[in-house]
Amino acid sequence: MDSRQYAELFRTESREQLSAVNRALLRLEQGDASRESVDAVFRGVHTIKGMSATMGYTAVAEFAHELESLLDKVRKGAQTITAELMDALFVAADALEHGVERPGMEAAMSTRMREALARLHDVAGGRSTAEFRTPLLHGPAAQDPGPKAADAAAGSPEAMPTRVSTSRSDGATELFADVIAGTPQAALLLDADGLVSAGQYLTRDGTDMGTPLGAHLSGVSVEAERAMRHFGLGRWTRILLESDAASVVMSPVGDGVALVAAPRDLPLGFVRRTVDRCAAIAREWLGVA
Amino acid sequence: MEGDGIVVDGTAQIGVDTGAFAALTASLYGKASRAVAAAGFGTVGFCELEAEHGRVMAAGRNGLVLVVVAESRVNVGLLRVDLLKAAGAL
Repeated sequence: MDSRQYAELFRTESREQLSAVNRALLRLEQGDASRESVDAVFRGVHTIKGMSATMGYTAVAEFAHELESLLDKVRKGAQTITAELMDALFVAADALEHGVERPGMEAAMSTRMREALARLHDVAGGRSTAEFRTPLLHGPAAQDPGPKAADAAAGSPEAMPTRVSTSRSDGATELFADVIAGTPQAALLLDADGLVSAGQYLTRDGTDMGTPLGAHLSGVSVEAERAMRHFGLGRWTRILLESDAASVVMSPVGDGVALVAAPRDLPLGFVRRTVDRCAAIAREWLGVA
Repeated sequence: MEGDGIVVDGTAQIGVDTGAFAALTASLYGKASRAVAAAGFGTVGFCELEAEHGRVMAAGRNGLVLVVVAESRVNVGLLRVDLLKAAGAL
């Protein structure tokens, strides 16, 4: 199956999910505030989020994640269903539908998505509740490419961005750009002291996650080295950690570590392959075996 | 074993020092859990360490950690699913 067929399959399955979401929203609007209806909306959005992330449609995945977070509040009873909220949810469902019909690899949400999210936040309050802070893949100056660019990107691999555009161009920050482009993953190369040597992990709000990640996680590889020596299993080759929000995979590179962090939605095998590719690039970059 | 490395129950080949094994694995799992939590990624539920001659998998719940040491050639997916299922029952 080629990329166009995958894209079409994504659209077909997303349309089915959106139909279910809209039916459940209608039931909610008509006063059926049952758990089943709320769960049906949540499930549909959650499924679209997962499929979008797998396809690398970052903006759609992020938008769905924001919507899902709000729906989770409704499920838990922390958010009351009001007429204003229903209106905002219908607008959000429309924006999601628009997004899945014109998916692209760009990280920036469309104007329609941003407006829908703003309306939801106006009604329900709060800001992003993302547990996994999605890495910023297209730099702080990324702009909404507009429907024309989105149409061009959909189903057209040539039109998709192949490099991360960042504010720095010294090569180090972009070392893994080709590997992680279009996916909600962050890749870092840490030295033996846990300092970031290459790659970057900036969240959408500009927070640098790379430095704290490196500082906290480099100690795990030291512990692994010690344990493997004692167990007689040889050198460690990969460490995989799964938490509520993220998968983190590390691979040794010289005295340092290549690290990839990804949301739990991404298949583990995919994340493992990413870290292997990043480690190979890092070894070549450092000139180590 | 408990999160602090005390063996609750275990099966190992003769000659394997389960006490030392538990202590080291608990230390590794604890370190990983603290690091991931500090990084803002929540609670670690599964940890896998691959090495040249084998792999160590650990799944934790309710202050207990279930650990498996296996050969490299083991079916990782199946072992992971079984381990998580067993850990869910802790």
